[in-house]
Amino acid sequence: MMPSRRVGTPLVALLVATLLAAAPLGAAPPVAKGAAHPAVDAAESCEGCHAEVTPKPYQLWFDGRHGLMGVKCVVCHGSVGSGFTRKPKADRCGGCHGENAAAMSVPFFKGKSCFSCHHPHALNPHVAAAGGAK
Amino acid sequence: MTMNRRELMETAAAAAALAAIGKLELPAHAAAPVPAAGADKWVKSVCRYCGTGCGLFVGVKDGKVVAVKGDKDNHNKGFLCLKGFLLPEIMSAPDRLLHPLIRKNDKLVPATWEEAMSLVASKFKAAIEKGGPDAVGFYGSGQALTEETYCANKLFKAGIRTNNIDGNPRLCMASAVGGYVTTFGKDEPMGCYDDIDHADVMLLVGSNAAEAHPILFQRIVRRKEAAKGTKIVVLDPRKTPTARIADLHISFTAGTDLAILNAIAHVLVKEGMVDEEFVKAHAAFGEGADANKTWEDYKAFLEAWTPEKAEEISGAKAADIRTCARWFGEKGKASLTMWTMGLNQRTKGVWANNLCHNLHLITGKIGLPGSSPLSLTGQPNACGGVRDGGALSHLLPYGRLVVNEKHRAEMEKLWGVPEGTIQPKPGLATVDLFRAVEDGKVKCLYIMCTNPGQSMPNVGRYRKALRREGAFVVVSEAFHPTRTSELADVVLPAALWAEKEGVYGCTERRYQLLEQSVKPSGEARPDFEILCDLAARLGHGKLLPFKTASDVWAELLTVCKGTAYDFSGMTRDRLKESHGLLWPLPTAGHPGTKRRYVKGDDPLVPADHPQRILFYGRPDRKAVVWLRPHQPAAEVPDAEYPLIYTTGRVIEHWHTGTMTRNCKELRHANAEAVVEMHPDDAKVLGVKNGDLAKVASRRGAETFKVRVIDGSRKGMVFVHMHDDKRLCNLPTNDAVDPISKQPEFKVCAVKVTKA
Repeated sequence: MMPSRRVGTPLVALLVATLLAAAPLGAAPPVAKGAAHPAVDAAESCEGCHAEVTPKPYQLWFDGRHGLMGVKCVVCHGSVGSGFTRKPKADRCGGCHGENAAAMSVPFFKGKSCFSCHHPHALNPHVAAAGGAK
Repeated sequence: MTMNRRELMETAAAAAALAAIGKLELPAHAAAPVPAAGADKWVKSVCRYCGTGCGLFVGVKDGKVVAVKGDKDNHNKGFLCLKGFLLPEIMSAPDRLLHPLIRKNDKLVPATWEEAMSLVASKFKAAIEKGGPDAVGFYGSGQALTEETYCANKLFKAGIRTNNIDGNPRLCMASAVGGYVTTFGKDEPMGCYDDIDHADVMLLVGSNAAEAHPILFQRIVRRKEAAKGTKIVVLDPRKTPTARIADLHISFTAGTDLAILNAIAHVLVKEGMVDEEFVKAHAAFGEGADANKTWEDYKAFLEAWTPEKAEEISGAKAADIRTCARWFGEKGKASLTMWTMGLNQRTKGVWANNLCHNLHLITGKIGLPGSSPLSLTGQPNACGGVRDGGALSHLLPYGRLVVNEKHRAEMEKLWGVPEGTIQPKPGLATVDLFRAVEDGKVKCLYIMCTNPGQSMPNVGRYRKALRREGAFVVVSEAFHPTRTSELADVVLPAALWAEKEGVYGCTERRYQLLEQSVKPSGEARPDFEILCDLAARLGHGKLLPFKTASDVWAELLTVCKGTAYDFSGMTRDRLKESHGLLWPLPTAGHPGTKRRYVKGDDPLVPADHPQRILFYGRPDRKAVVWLRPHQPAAEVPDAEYPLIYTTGRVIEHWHTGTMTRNCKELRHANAEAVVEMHPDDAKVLGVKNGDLAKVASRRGAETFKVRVIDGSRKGMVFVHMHDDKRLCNLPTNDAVDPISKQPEFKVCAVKVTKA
């Protein structure tokens, strides 16, 4: 359910504000956990907008392998509205990395996600493990 | 509410201000849905989308498709593109058609199967009785399963006795077929995906693989990463996402690449990069339709095609053409050419294909790991079902031709019908088929698994034809409404992808079994069953006595036997066990054929053949190097229509979008077709990003939002092809290649005005 234009902007601003306050740049798009992504212009692509509104995560993704290979925002983050997923779960990775995603259920990885070791937007191996998200 | 970019940026700015105030409490929101995990079982299948043919497993829970995962033992090594990953959503889409529809009082209303099929049968019978077999036609699809297409082909050619059966591969692959047949004598590539892993130089011509074939593009990237020094050349007017990995991107005026390809050959000859020994042993030379020329004639022909002349015609830089030729021709390097619609959808599409083959033949860079001319296919079963299965108006199964008396006799014997049953004259190819509906010669048209009401060139004309008074149109489709089903008199609910079983054959001659994962939705039925039902009602039940798709496959194994396609060792059980098999595969124990025409790999080349390769497709056992000059597109810009118009895919959507629009993630990503243009053109036209612009050709017009991007070529506009609301094919040109009968979607002239 999308907020109306009259009340929507302050509400989304509130959500985005929290994200900007809490998350390091490059870690996630500026929408709060559980929040709906605002509806978008159907003539727009995710990256067309996010190159401007969240340039750092966009650039990390674009310059990484997933950006080059066309594994676009929707694969991990889903749709807009309530279909938006801020923090994707392992099954979002499972379409291509099935065995690795399934391995996340073993006790060794308790409390961890794919992004504990793989930067959530650069998605290159073990960057986070080597020094955290940049 | 829809938020545009400016509003969202304003929101972000406001958010930043609020963030400075301190931590804020957030309202609770529903958790976002993600693909369901915990499938009860995983069923082996193939992606429903492009011609790459990625293997995958369908996750089923409580009788529903809940997930997919890539098959790591297949060529795609477990990877899927974003469309493939989201496949589960198409199965339960709100616009799935769950029961038959019949038009009454100009409205489509629900009907029973019995009502719908009785009506279809009676209309077809009446049309045939009054106008003869050619008063009806069939328009099929490179997305239907092989068994389904075979049933339609047999019913129409041997039962009804009309060759008016064609399909959408005529719109995408016919020129590739024409290229392979005229050069090698047989259709289908000799190379395979494995060649990407061995190539030192890859030439992508008229192919935006990064968006149209993402998993093959990934493989190209992996090769470039693994082998330092690998060169990628992208020949495309637009700077596409594929060009991101290009060592050399050659932009040119759309429709002029024949000049460039001849200029590359010119440099190869002039700079001694040809393989004289290979040419002498394996190449013939020809002009027009006959192999009546010599190597010397060809070299004389190439004299005029200098890089400078190509630059004059195409706008590509002569120096870049030379660089491309030198990389391609370097001795000891493996060179791979790949192309798609940029070459095929042209009035000189077959010639353009011939010119790609020429480069490999004169250098001998063919039939070796990494060296091949590899046409990339657009649909998942255009190769296996329609091309190989011979379901075009001039073909019979597995390389046989309608005009060939011996071939007709073979098929009549195999099909158990009297001699003379199959008509000797080719039927109507796609554009002519729809024109015959327009002028009333074809009274009944059966359309299966495709969307010509959106995908035909000059589509406005053919949309009118389908609603012509007296025309009776049947559409078998999993979704409704589509831009075709809305025009139908009867719409039959077809089972979709994981709801049925059958074989797909992709780009590299790889056949793969899609096992049934779930039951059909609602009252939907597999097309194979619907066709068997129709055959029985038309009095041809004996021709299609099949109970299962496996029964059809058993017959196909006999039909292909002894042909150049021979896959008679590819039993159903073997397909179930395997992760794709490449034909020829003529015996049960044969491993399949990576590279055709190659001794030691292709079983049709004698083991004692004295040379490494044998082009057995032609009587002289040679492949033909063709003398094909550049010729302009059927319509070029002029004062009234000053811009070139072209169309193509985006990665998020596939074909006419009937499936991808049903994925909620993709409905919001590049869903609306836009017109992309160069900043200089936008300035002249007085338009900016987001403005509406009317794009008009001599045939039709459509209005799109403008997207101004540097990657566009000045003087050319590009429109996405998937949008059902904004029909990119209203302006496109329905002029066809005289050899392949494929229309020239890729080049026409338009004027653009601010709307």
